[in-house]
Amino acid sequence: MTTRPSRLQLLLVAAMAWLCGASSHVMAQVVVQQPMIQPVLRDDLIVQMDEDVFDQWVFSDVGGRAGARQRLIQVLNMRLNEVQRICELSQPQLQKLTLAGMGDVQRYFDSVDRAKQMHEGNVGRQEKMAEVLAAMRPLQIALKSTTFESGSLFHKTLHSTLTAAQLSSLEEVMYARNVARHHATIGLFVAAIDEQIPLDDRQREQFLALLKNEIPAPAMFSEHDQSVLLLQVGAIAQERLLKILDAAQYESLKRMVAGAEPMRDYLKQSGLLFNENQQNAVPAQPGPIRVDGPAVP
Amino acid sequence: MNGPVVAPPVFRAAAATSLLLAFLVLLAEAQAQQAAQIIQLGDDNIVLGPEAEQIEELQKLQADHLVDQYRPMLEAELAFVQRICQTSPQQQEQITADATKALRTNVDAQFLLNRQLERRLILEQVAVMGPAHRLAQAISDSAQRHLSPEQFAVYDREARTRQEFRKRAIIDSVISELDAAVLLSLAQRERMREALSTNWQQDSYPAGISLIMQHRQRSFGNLDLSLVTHLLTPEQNRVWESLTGLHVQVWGRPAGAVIIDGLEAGGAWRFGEGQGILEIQVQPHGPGAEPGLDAEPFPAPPALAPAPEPPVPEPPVPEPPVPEPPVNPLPE
Repeated sequence: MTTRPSRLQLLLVAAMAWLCGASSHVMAQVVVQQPMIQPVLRDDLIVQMDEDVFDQWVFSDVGGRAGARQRLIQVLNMRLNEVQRICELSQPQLQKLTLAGMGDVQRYFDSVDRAKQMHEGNVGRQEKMAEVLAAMRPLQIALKSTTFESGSLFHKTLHSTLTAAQLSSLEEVMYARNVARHHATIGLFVAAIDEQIPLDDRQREQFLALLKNEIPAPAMFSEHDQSVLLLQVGAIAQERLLKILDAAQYESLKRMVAGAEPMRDYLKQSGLLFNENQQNAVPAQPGPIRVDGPAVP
Repeated sequence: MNGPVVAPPVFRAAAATSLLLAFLVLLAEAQAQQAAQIIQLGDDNIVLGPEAEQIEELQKLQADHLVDQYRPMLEAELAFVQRICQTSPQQQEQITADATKALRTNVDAQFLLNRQLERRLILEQVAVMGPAHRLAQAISDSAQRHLSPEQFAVYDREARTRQEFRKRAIIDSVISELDAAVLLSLAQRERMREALSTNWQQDSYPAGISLIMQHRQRSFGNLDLSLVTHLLTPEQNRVWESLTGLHVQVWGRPAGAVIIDGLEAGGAWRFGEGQGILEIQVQPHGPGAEPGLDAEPFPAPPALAPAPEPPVPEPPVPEPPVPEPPVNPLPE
């Protein structure tokens, strides 16, 4: 026996579906645009750190553990392609590098698992969670950029597998990339200064040249580059800056530098500011392939 | 029973009434949510209803505060005009009056915009013209009215070189960020630079540079990135897409733990210690969430095809979204 729904039933279903649709539309707006989700302070918050929570936190940017794996493999693919393009690898070289890269992927997940075991079962409030977040930070950085950098199997295998000529070609490309990024950051920084302290064309170009000359590339680039550069500008001798800026401009610049001072300790602790000894500066000439950040422990 | 099932009239009436009521409730909720405002006052978030007076008073205070914030910028711009154009006191007075008025107007507009945007994507602000840019525009307009043609020519030349420098700096930065993310070849960089430069618009990247510096790794203003992403290889494109997921930042408070009602179960949140910024990733990336990627941790090394040359730049044609191919954990 079949029962056909009446038109009224169909209408009701359609109306309910429409209402549900309207409701989810409203909710979508809530998440993306509007303030229905409000941060609520809860001092009594207790967070239980378990395997799932740890993974969610570490891999929040990439959609979970599987997404992290996919990201790393994509990055490895891309790097292998670049090395292939520059160095014209032989098949054995390619195989060694691929194995090494996959070893780094495995090592990355091993280090995540070790950190997870250390903090699993951790229950606590903000202070305790701050420890967990600190432990996660290098893992997140590694996921973004450093898994195949200095200290990695991939990096070591590059050095042990490529010929001197191949390595030299690769180093030149990587050096040029780092310098280009550093110079682009300085250009943006000068434009930012120019917004606050208008410079004329001559001043702008001279200031740009001075900074490119005086400030070494950082070990890592970050959203704090403006503060890092301000602090490094603060270390340049006054008379050199006064050859470019007038007294009023110099005073304004000093105020901007002072505004960045409270960041100094944080930037040092984060490895973003090295201007005291400039150990992590880019060498004047292409050299060993550079670190782009701390390697995974 | 054959034939259509007909609900009794009382059920039909009840169903229709329920629907109507549900609709009205949704409507009322939406209106109430729109009307509700949260304003940060000191250390407290105060939820205000439609109490217009309180809101207006707070808005005025905040707008005044914004004017004070931008005043040094105004003074710097005026000093710049004076220095490069050798303005007379009268000219300087006129330009100062125009610029001060413009500052207030711009701040009011900015304030209104902030109110509208404050719970929306922070990155949207990057696509909105910054006060410095608007202030410089207002001063330029005023200078044209009050300076001699010779003086204005000097000012105009400097303003143009300044804009050109800004454009170059932003394009270099965008390309270097892309390069860092997806390892561009020299040819790709050059093609991208040309594409962005040729298609540059005055509002391509209107926000203040400081904001750009903070968000440059994942926000590109109003730039049409299809101008450059179509120059990427498939591998680069996949990495780029995985890096540009949707992020939402909500300004919160630094102290204490922060919970977003309804989202904590997802766990996809974290807070910037001491910065008062809560960052949420709204959606996990679909393809990355596929199971099975962990199945083979050490695949045998396959042959690697040389990276295909990026295609010759062409005007980007919008294409329908292509379904993500099955993820191949092996290098191609």
